[in-house]
Amino acid sequence: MSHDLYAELAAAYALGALDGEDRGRFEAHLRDGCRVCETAVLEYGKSLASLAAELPPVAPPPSVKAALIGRIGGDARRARAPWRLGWAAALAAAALVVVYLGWTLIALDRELAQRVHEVAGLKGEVARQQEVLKILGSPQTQVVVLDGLKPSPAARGRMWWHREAGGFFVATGLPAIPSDKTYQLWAIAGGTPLSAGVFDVDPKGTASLRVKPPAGVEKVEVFAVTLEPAGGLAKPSGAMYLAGKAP
Amino acid sequence: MREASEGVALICRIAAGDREAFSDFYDRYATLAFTLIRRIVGQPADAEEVLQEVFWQAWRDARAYDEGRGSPEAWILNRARSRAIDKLRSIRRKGEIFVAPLIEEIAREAEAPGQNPASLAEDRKVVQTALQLLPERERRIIELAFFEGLTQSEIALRLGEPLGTVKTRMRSGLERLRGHFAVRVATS
Repeated sequence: MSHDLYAELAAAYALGALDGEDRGRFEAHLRDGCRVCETAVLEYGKSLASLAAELPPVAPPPSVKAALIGRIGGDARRARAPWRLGWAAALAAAALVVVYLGWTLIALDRELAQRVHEVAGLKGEVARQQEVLKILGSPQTQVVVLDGLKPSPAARGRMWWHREAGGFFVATGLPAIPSDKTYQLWAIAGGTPLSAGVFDVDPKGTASLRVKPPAGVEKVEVFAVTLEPAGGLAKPSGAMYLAGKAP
Repeated sequence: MREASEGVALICRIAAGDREAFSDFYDRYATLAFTLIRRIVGQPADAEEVLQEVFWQAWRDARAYDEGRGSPEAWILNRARSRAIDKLRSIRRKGEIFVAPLIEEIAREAEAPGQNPASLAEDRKVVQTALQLLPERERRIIELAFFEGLTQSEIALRLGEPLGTVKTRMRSGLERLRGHFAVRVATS
C-alpha cells in the first residue's frame, strides 16, 4: 500500500468516518509512528474545529451547568485537597501511625513483661506443687500430728516430713494475731530448736508452709509453733500454740 | 494563541481538581460545544444530555490532555462531536431516524423544508461560508461525515458513489478547508 492511500485514510479518520478494515489498518499505521499521518490528522482536526466554530452559536440552558457543578461536587475521586495539602495530610497520618505503633509497642512490652512474670510465678507454683506431691507420695515421708496447746486447744497441725526433701506443714484453728506478731515453726533436733520458717494465718485460722530441710540434721524429734515478734527470732521466746513429736 | 494558552491553563487546574477552573472552562467552551452538538443530534434534550456528558468526561480526563495533540478548543470539540455522533447512532439504532441507503436527491428534498426552516437555512448559510470554496461533491461528503456521523462506506451507499471516490473527495475537501483556515490564521 503506497503512502498516498494512507493520506486518504487520514482525512476519513479525522472525520471519524473510517470504518471496516481501513480503520484497523490506519490505526496500526499511526501506532507504527508515522509522523506525516499524525500531523495530517491533527491539522484536519483543527480545520474541522474552525468549521464548527463558524456555526451560529446556540447557548446551552443554565440547567446543564448547574447539573455539572452538582455532579463534580459529589465526585469523591476529585473531592480532595491539592497535592501540597495531600502531602501534609499524608505526613500527619504517617506521624499518627508512628505514634500509635510506638504506643502499641510500649503497651505490648509491658504486657509481655507481665506475662513473663506470671509464667515465672506459675512455674514456681508448679515446682512447689510437684515438691509437695513428691513429699506426700514418698514412702519415707512421716506424718507428724501437732496438737493444740493451752493458748489454742482446738488448733491442729500436720507435718509431712521427708528427711531429704523437707516438709509440708498445715495448721488449722489458730487464733488471729496482731500485726506485730507472727507464728514461728520450730524443728527441734538434738534438743536444739531450729527455725523452720514464720507464717501468718488467714481469717479462718488456717495456714500452710513449705519447709526446707535444715542442714546437717539427721532426725527431727519435735515440731512446735510459738508466737514471736514479727519477722521471727533465732530462738523461741513466746507461748507455744502447737507441738507434735515425730515418730 | 493567548486564548488557547488560557484554555490550557484552565485544563491544568481542572486536572488538579480545581472546580472554579472547571466553571470558567465551561463558560468559555460550552456554547461552542453545544452549537456543534445541536447541529448533529438536533433534539435539544438529547443535545443537553450529550453536553453534560462531554464536560463530565473533560473533568475526569483533564489529566490526559496533551497540548501537543491539539488546542483546548479542538480537544473539547472533538469530544463533543464524537459523543454527539455516538448519540445520533444510538438514536438511529432505535429506528427513530431512517438511514438505510437512500437516493441522495430524495434525502435532500426531505431535509430541505425541515421542521424548523428558519434555523436550518441559517445553519446552511453560515456553514456555506466555511465550505464555499469546496465543490458541491466534496462539501456534501464532508457534511455527511462531520454533521451526520456517516462513515465512508455509508456515504458511498447513500450517494451511490464508489468507496474510492468518496475517500478521494474527503481528502481533497479537507485539504481545501485546511488551506482556507491556514490562510485565515496567517492573515488575522
